[in-house]
Amino acid sequence: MTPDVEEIAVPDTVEELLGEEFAAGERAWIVIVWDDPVNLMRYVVYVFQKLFGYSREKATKLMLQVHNDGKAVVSSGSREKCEGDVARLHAHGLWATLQREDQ
Amino acid sequence: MQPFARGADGTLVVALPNAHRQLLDLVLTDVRRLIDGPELAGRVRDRLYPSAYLDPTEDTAEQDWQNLVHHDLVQGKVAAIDGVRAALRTDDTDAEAITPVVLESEQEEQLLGALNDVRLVLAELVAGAGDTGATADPHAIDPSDLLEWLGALESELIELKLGDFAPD
Repeated sequence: MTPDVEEIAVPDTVEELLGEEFAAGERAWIVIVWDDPVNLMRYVVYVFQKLFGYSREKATKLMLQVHNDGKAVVSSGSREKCEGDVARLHAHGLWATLQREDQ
Repeated sequence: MQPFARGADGTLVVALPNAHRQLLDLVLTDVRRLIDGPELAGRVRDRLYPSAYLDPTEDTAEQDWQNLVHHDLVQGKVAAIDGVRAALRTDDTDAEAITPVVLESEQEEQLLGALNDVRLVLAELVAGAGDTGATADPHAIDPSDLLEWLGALESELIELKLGDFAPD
């Protein structure tokens, strides 16, 4: 006698299993730091090193990109991770936003 | 004498003349009142507490995010100012005298954060005032001079702290 159990649909794809947004990958969101005329350049380098553990070289390169181009992508990942990064950057007085990577 | 130096145990030693500590206390008190008050609006609010999302279709996410972080963000800035004021305030009337103060690592971070926030606020206030920043009080400190002084102090502290990171 066959047990009376509910039939479970087995997902065929990762998207079906985890949801479209999650399956889109951990790099679906990016954090952008925008240039402002008040924060000192060396302070921005310090914050990038402190918050993200970047080398002096990478932190300086990103700071110069912010300064020269007006903005730079400083981190990426899930929406939740990027929201956390933005909160930490705001706590340090940097102007940061997040958006989808393909936006 | 340098305003900031490392003690033998790695703690931060602050060596500012009493007059500078008292000026810093005055500025921090004013800024604390502003950033924690209900009247905070416009440029200063937008600069200290900016949006996380630029995309208008993310309004709900923005509101959720603000609900989640705004209170902590404000309290963090207020706590930093309170921590610095508690550590550095002095009633010593000898303006030129320097009594070194040792800060713990948390107070050190608070000092850097408070200096930066104060500069952000002052810069927005100066920008908002346009060219009419001159005050009627001839004894009042020019905000631009104040910004320059705070910037120099912050620079000294940043250089010290950048030296704490391991070389690449």
